[in-house]
Amino acid sequence: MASVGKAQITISGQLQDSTNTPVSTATVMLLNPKDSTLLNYTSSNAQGIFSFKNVKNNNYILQVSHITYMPYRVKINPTEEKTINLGMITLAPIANFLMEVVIKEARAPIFIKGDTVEYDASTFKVPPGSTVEDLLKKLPGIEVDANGKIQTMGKDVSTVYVDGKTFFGNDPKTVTKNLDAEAISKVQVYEEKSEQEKITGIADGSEEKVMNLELKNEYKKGYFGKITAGYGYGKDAPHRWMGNGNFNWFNDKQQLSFIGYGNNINVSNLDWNEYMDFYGQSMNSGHDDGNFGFESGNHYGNYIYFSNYSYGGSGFSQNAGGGVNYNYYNKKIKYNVGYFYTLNKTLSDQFANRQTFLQDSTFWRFDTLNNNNTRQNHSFSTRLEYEIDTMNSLIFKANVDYSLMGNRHAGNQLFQNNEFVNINQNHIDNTKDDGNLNLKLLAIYKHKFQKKRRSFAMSAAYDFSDGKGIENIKNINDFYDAVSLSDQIKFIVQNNNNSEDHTLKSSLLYVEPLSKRFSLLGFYNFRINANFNKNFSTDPGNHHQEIDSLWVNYKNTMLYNRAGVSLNYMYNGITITLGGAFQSLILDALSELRTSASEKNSFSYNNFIPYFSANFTLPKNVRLNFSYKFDVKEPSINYLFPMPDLSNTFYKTNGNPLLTPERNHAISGRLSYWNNASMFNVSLSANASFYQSQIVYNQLIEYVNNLGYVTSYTPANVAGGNRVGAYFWTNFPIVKTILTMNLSADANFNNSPVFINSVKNISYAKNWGAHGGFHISVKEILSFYINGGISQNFTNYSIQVDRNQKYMNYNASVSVDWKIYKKTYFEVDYRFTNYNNKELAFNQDIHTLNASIRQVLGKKNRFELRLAAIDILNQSKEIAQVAGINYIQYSKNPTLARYFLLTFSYNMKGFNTDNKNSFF
Amino acid sequence: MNKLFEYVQIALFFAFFPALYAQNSNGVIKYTVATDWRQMMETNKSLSQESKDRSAYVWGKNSEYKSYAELKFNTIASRYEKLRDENNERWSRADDHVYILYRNREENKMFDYQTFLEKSYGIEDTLVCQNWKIRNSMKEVAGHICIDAFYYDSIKEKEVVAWFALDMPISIGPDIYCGLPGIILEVNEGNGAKVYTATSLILSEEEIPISKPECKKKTKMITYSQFKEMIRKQVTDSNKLGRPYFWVIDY
Repeated sequence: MASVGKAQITISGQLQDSTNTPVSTATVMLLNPKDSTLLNYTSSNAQGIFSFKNVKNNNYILQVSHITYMPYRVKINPTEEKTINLGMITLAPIANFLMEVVIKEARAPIFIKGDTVEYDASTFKVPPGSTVEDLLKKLPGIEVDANGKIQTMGKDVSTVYVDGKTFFGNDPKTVTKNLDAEAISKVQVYEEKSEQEKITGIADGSEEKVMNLELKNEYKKGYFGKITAGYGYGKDAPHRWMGNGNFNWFNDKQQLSFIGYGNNINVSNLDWNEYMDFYGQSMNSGHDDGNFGFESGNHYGNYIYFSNYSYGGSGFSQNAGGGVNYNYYNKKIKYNVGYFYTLNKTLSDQFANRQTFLQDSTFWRFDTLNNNNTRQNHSFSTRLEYEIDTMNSLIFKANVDYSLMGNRHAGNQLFQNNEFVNINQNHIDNTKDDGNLNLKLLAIYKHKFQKKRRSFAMSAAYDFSDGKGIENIKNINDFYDAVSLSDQIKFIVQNNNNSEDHTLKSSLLYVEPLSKRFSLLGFYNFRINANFNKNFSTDPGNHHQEIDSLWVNYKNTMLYNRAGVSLNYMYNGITITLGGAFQSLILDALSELRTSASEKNSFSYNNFIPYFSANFTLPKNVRLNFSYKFDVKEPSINYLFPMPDLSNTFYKTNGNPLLTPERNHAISGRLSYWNNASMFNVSLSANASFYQSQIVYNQLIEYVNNLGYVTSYTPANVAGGNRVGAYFWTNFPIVKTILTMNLSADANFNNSPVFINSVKNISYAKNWGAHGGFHISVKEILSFYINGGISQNFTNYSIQVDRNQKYMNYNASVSVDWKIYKKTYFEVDYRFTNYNNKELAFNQDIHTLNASIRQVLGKKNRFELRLAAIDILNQSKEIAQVAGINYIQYSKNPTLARYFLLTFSYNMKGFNTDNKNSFF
Repeated sequence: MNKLFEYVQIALFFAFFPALYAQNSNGVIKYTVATDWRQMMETNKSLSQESKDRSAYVWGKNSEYKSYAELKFNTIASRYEKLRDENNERWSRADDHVYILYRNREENKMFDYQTFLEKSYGIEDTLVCQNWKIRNSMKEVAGHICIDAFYYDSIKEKEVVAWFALDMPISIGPDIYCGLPGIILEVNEGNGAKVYTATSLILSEEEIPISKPECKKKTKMITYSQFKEMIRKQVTDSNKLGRPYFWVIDY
C-alpha cells in the first residue's frame, strides 16, 4: 500500500547467470507497478550487486535488463524493514538463435512477454505469393516438417490463431497452407494453459504451444466507393437527372479505380476530389514531356496535371463518362494504365449584337444562332517508370486519344448600317463531322554519375495524328437595297479535310557541376515534323462534283534544332540561371493547286535566345523570383497557309507566307511573404511583355455591292505593342481560427497595334479590380463566406476616339454552411452581379440563389439524402460584353436556370459528419 | 557446441566491456529523421477521415522525407543540432532556422536555442524529460542492443517509442528525448510517422568540448513551460482550422 509511510528504504540484490558468474553492467530499473513508468534506475557492479538507496517505501516492479540475458521482472511490496534484499537473482540467457538470427541478421526486434518471445515476421523475406507455411520455414526457432506439422523448441504447435481468433477450425495446416504470407505482420509463439487449468487455476503441466499470426494493418488494404442518383424538376427545365459512382480497391502496391457519371445538369467533368480519388498515386507522377531546356535542371519534381478538370458552361448539356485506372507501385517500378470516355451533347442559343467601327462609319450585326454540339472522346494512357538502379532510370509513356465531334451551327446574322437600315442578312446552316486520332509515344532515360549532381538525360518521342472532317456549308445571303430585298446569293458546298501529322523529336540534357555552387547545363532539342493536308470541296447541287478552285494539297516539313547552355548558381536559397540558346527552324512548304501551278516555298529562321532567371528564398519566409526571357515564336503553319475556312461568307481568313517569328521580351517578378505565427500571407507579382514584333490579324473591311460588308483577316507582323500586369493578394486572420480576411487587387495595361483597312489603330486597354472577403467560422458548426469586388475596364482607340469604352462590374456574394443538427446540414449561397456601361446605357443585375439541405443517415453514416434548389430566382444566363479592337459585342446565352434536385447517396465508408474542411 | 560458443561470447564480452564502458561518455551520434507525411496525417486526430484517406491514397509510398541531425556528448553535457542536407541542395533555402538543444546533466539544466514560427527563442530551465514506461522488447540499433520504452504525448497525440542502449548508461537522446537509463538510439513517433534512427555512433576517448549555444542579441528568453504552451496553442489553433499543424511547425 502506498500509505505505508514516508520512510525511505534501500532495495538491493545481486545478479548471476546459470553458471554462478556475476552479471555486471546490467540495467536495473524501478517501475511503477500500475503502468511500468520508470521511477529510478541503476546498474550492477562487477560483483553483480545493485542497490537503490533512499527510495520511497512503495509498491514497485523491479526490472533487470541486459544485452545477453532475458529480462527479469519481480514485484516489490512495501515493507516494515529499512531494507529489502532480493538476494541472488539468476538470469537466463537469451536463446542464441534470437540474438544471432533475429536481432543481428534479420535486424528485427524481439518482443518479450514473460517467457514468450515474438518477432516481426515481415522482416523475413519470402517471394510474393508464398503461404504462411513458406514463411514459417524461414523463421528461426520454428520447424515445419514435410507434412506441414509445426514444431517450436521441440514441441508441437497445436493451434494457430489469426489475430487471436481461430481460423477455420483447429487444424494449424488450414491456416498455414491457405493464408498469404504477405498478410502477416507478427508471429507470436506462446504456451496456452489447458482448459482445465483455466477453470481450476491449478497448473496441470499439460501446457500447449500455440501460435498467433497477427495481420497487417487494415489501411494497407481496402476499398472505398460512393454512388449517387438524383432526379429533379424545373418549370423551364423539366426532368433533370444525375447519377455518378466510383469504386476504388487498393492494397500496399496496387490501386484500381472505376468511375462513371451521367447527367443533364451541365456537369461535364470530374471535381477535384473525384479526380484525386480516381488517379490516386499516379497524380504524383511527372507530367514529363521530354523537352529539356533552361529550366530542366531545377524542375525534376512532380507536377499535377489536370487533363479533365473544368466546369461546363452555357446552354443545356447532357453528359456521360467513365473510366478505369490501375496503378502499381513498388520500390523500382511505378506503373499506371488508364482509360477514360467522355460524351457531351450541348444545345445552346446565342443572341448577340456587334457594332463595328470603321474610320468614318460604323455598322451593326445582330446574331440569332443555334449550336448543337456532340463530342465523344476515348483516351487511353499508360506510363512506366523503372528505376534500374540508383544511377539509372527509364520512363515510357503512351497516350492514345480518339475523338469524334458533330456540330450543327445554324441561324441568322443581320447586318445594318448606323441608322439601323438593313444591309443584308446571312442565313447559316452548317454541319461538321470530325474524327481525330492522336498517338503519343515517349521514352526518357536518366543517368546520374558517381560525381554528385552530374547528370545526363535523353528523350525520344513520336507523335502522330490523323484527322478527317466533312463540313456541309450552306450560306444564303439576302441583300437589301434600301428596304426591299434586291439580291440573293447562295453558297452551298461540302468541304472535305484530311490531315496527317508525324513528329519525331529528341532531347539531350547534361548537367556538370563546376563547384559546390555552380553548375553548367547544356541541352539540345531536335524535332522533325511532316504535315500533309488534303482539302477539297464538292458541290452538292451538282452531283458532288469537285470544285477545282477549292482543291488544295499542302505538304509541309519542318526541321527544328535548338542548342543551349546555361550557367547555374545554386546555394543557400539563391538560384540564378544565365544562359542562351541558338534556335534554327527550316520550313519547306509545298502547296498543290488545281487552278494554278504548285508553289514551293522554303523558310529558314535563325535566332539567338538569351535567358535569365533568379530565385531568392530569403530568411523569414520571404521569396523573390525574377526572370527575363527573350521569346521567339515561329509562325505556325496555320498562319502561313490557313485551312480554307468557307463557313461564313462575310468573314474570311487568309494566309501570309511572308511572316517572320514573333519576338518579345518577357519579364516577370514575384515577391511573397508569409508568417506562420500570425498566419499572415502576402504576395505581389508583376509581369510585362514588350513586343519587338508580334503577329496580329489585320483586317480589311470592304463593302461589296450586292453582298454587304465582308471582313477578311490577314496575319501580319507589326512592331510594338506591350502588356503590363500586376497582382496583389493578402490573407490574414483578424481573430485567429474564427475570422479571416482576404484582399486582392490587380491592374493590367496593354496596347496593341492593328491595321484596319490599312490604317493603324492602337487600342489601349486598361483594367483594374479590387476584391475583399471574410471567412467566419463558428465552432465548426457554422461557416460564413462574404465576398465583394469591383472592376473597371477602359478601352481607348487611336481612331474613333468617341468610341472609347468604360464599363464596370460589381459583385457580392454570401455563402453559409451550417450544421443544424448532428447529421443535418444546410447550405446556401447568394451572388449578385452587376455589369454596366454608361456610354452604351447598359446596366444588368443578376441575382443567383442556391440552397440545399442534406441529411446523413444510418448507423455508420453511409447514406445521405439531399434536396437542392438551384437558381431559385431563375436568373441564370451567360452575359458577355466584349470590346474588341474595332468592335463592341454584347451577347447572351440562355442556360440551365431554376430547378430542384433530390439526390440519394451511398458511401461504403460513411459520410464525413464533422464540418471540417477537407483541405487536401 | 552452441553452449561453448555462448561461453566464449560471454567471456569475450566481459574482457572488453569495461574498456568500452570508460569510453562511452564522449561521442558523436548521427541521426536520420524520417518523416512519413501519410502516417503523420493518419495519426493526427483532428483531421477528417476523408482527408486522411485521400492523402494516403494519393501519396502512397512517396510520402517520406528525410532530414539529418547530430548529437554530441561528453561527461557532463550534450548538444543536439539539426544538420543541413548537403545532398539535397535543390530544396535548400536560406535557412535561418536554428535548432540547438543543449543539456547539462551535471547541473540538471537545459538550454535550447531554436526558431519557432520565424522567431528565435532561448529556452532556459531545469532539465525536463519524459515519463517513460518501460517495455521488454529488444533490438539492435547502430550495433547496440536496445530495449524499448514509451509514453503518450498529448500534444502530438501520438505514442512515442524509444529504444535505448543497454550498454551506454547515459541519459540522453535525440531531439527533446531523454531520461532513460541508456542513450536513446531510435525514437518512433506515431507508429512510423516520424522516426529518428542513429546511423553512426563514434565514441571518443578524449573529452569533446561542448558549449552552450550562443544566442543572437535580440533572442527572447523564456522558460520551457512557456515554450510548451506556445506549441500547444499553435497545435490547437491548427486543429481548429482542420489543418495539419506539422506543415507549419516542426514538432
